[in-house]
Amino acid sequence: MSLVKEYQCPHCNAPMDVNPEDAIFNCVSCGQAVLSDGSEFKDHYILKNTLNRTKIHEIVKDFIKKKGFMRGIKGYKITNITPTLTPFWVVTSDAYTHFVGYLRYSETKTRTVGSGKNRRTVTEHVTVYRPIDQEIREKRADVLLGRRGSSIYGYDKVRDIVRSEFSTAIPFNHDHLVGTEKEFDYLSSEIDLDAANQLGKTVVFDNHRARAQKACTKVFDCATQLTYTGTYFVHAPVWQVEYVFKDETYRIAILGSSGRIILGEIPVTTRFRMIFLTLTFLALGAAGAGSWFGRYEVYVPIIAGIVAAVIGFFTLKNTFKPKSVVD
Amino acid sequence: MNVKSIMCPNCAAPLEMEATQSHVTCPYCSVTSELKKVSELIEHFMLPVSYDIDQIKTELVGDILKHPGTPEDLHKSLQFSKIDLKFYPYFIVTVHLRTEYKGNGEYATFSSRYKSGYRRISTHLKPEQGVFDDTREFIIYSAEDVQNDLINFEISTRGKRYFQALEAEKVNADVNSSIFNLDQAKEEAIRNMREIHKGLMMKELAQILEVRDEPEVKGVYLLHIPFYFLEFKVGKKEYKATMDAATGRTVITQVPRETSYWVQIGVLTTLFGGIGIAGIFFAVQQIALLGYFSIFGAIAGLVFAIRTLQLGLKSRYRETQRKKR
Repeated sequence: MSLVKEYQCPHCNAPMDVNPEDAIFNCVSCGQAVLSDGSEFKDHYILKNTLNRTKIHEIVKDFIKKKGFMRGIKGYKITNITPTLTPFWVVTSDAYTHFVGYLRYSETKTRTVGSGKNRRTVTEHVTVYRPIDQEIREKRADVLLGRRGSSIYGYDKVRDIVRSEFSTAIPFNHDHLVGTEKEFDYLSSEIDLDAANQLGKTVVFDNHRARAQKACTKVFDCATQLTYTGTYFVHAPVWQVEYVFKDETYRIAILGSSGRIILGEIPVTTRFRMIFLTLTFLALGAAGAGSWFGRYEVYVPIIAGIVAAVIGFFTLKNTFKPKSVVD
Repeated sequence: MNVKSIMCPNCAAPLEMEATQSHVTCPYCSVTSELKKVSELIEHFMLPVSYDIDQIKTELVGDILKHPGTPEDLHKSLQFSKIDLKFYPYFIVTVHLRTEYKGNGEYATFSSRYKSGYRRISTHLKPEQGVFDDTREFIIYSAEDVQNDLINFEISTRGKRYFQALEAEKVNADVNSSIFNLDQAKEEAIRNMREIHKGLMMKELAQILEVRDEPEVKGVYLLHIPFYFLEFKVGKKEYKATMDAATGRTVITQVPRETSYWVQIGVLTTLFGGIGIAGIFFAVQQIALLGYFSIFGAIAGLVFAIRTLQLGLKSRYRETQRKKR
């Protein structure tokens, strides 16, 4: 027997089909929740879900009305609503970075020289080096997805939202799994506390170094010190919605605690394409008319040409793109 | 594939499994067993094939139809001429690396005060040492055939199960073995991590004299992801697509278009290009009445024409791609 370990429910001894996704298993026979390592998370929180399917329908309707303005989207149908409790780690820390370097920039200097008939202004460019010796000192809350090697739809966005809503989180209770959040798919973390802290530290290091590099032309030294002030495990309710418009599927992710749209796809309709193609021609026409009136100054047609080119760059992109992604 | 058999500890049914498989679920009594003495114990997972060929067709057609100028009856007119289902291996490795370095770093002295800065700078070297200590996660594509689209694909690991050779057989899928064994995958991740630390060191130091590092692999697993490799016909033309069979996402597909679409692109390009060329022509002629007006036509017309061609001729579509670090 030493060769093989069976997974069995400790409560009722029923065999369990173990899913490696879960750190918490629910026994199919008796409903007993089993932690894989037997221990409990002390700082386990949850953003409480406030939505239900009716509200989801309203939010989607509102979203399409607002963001799908002028696209003529009528007769879409919601085909799939999947609520998921998604795991996040919130690593809070006091971060301190000291960096040294210099910033190079050039200044235009005008001065008047000579006198009488020879009096004239001279313009010269001066390269200036400014030594930089600065500190970054801040309280941080870095949010990490509690899953490895994976990403969820709208991940970058949801991270920011979870950070801003973290203050409303309440302590997690197993009743949530059988009570109000019963219909949610429950995802547990694949990352333990130690790994979350380590990954969080890397995020802070990278962020501070990037800021140092932004402030300097050349960074000589950049050193970051980090003191952890608390790491929390947070479950956030995310509603993944799929809807069909003209036989094509589009997705929307909604955060269940506040009803905010994390990320949503919107169809690009023929009407939308025509509007932007028209805008392309309008830009060309308007800039053309402008440069006709200023045709005897060389810079007017050049500037008008560049302006039209920039506008056309985006309007043409909208004309050809397969779908819009908005938040 | 290296296969071995064991007996289910619960119901004594014979079970077949791969040499690297760590867990096996008995198809008769559904008890999952963990094997403790495997030649090399890798946590080996797979994503199930959640989309059958009809569902994947719906996803593919849906994605193609989002593009302008695609045949509207694609749901009927698209015919698959070749369907291949293959599992591709990815290692997911978390590495912690502590690098101690010594070398010469730059610093500068400034002279000739000017407003809030200086006019002159001279850089010197001074001995410098420090430590980088961080943890990162790497996704390592480990199949033999190099497919850039699969390497850059933003994989999802959600819904993974312990790898069962039987499940792949059930859906008639080939399993591509990993070219890396566990140690090689770890080495590869550590090498990537060292590259990152080397890049950081180059920013801190002008000369690197001494480097000492301690790599530590915090976690590693092997994941097999199923992909459909499809060839399909629309009308007489052949197209290719690769789809993720676990999530239904489009890795890459060629986009079939209708003739009328090419006509529209042609008309637009000719129109914009015409304006551009006419602009250049009149600018060279220097007709007094036009002033510098033709310069506008040359700039705007050519940019519009190039942009139309660039967007209009795009024949491939990728749903998602991993961001480069």
